[in-house]
Amino acid sequence: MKDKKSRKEKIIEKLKSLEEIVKKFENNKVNIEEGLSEYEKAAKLIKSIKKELTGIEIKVEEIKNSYS
Amino acid sequence: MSDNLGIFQENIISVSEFNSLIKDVLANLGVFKVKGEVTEFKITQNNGVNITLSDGKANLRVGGYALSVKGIDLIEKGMDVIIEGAADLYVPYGSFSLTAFSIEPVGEGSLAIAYRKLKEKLEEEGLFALEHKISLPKFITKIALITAKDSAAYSDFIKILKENNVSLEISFYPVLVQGSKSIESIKNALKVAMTFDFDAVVLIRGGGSLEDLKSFNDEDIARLIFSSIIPVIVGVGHEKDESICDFVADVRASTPSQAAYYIIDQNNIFLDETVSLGDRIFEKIKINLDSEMRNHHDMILSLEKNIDNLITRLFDKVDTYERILKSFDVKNILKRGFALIQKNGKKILSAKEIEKGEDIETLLHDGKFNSIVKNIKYFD
Repeated sequence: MKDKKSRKEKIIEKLKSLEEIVKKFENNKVNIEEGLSEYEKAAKLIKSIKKELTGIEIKVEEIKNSYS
Repeated sequence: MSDNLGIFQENIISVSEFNSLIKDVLANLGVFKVKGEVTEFKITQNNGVNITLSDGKANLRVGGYALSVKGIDLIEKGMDVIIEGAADLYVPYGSFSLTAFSIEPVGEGSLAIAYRKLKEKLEEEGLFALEHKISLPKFITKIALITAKDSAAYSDFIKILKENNVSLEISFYPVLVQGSKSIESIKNALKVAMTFDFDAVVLIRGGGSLEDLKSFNDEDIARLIFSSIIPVIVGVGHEKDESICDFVADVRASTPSQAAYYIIDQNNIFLDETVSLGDRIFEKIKINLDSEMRNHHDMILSLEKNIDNLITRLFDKVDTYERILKSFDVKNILKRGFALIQKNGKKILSAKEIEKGEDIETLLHDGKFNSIVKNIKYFD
């Protein structure tokens, strides 16, 4: 079944998750074990968000070129 | 008739009976056209006509009621005329006369006088006035053409239209333009043409003398043209020729060819105006379109800018989070020779948190080990 959520929604959700992890670290609310796992999770989110943003950037360029 | 006269020939009759009898005989003779010179001409206060017509050898007294004698107002002493009328006898005096029905001038001199008189009369009545002229429609598509069949006027008119590729619906009314029957012929054609929905009626003929152009100087035809609710174009003869119909026409063309050019010009003006209007509308649309395109372009630029900004902001945000997270990356710290110490799963940040003999866990970047605290030393 296809994910019905839009790309924008997905990015925002991912950004929200990333923000929560960053806050946890900043507030010193993670122990070492959890910290490692959260850090890994955050790294994955960053990679995914950057990938999606790059995809959007390419798509926008394509649209610009189509009518310029 | 001779039997009736026989009865009287055998009997004696009175003067008045005789005069009445002759009057009846004369009445039965029918209508005559008598030609001669007007040597005496007078109209009485009671509108009685009193003319003496002469051919040099004999005189004829002509009477009648002026208001019912056609052409009487164009006559003057000395003119050669043809008077149409019936023979009559005035019973009380036994005087013989011709009762006139109509009078028409003959010969160039008489025709010229009659032409001048009719022109003055109609001009005075306002038949030539500009305010009575009807304008041609903006675009002419169907006309009635009144002229002689196979005439030069007809050929010239059609030729000019063809040469200029004019597409016209032409209803042709062939008429006699010269001779005794021409007036009736033209009148009938005009009357019929005026019953249809033409854009214009075109009456044309070639040039000629006053005698030739007599029907185009006829009062009835002039009045018929004046009464038309369809614009009438008249084109007679050569440039120098002029006729009463020319003056009364809504459009006076100097020749039949010129009549064709009037129609061509009228249609060309309309087409030029239409093309010009089309150009103006197109220009207006183009200006609006250009403006819309500019607005559209500006909107696209603004949209592009906003999208670019949004993407940049998101990238910046992610980069910031990444930087923050990196500062919390424990592995990087441990790789630099540091170690983390935990007791019962909790970080130990101070030497005061442990006691001698306790089991502690030490984490390095690539592994961990447990140890027992043997000794504790506090720094100052």
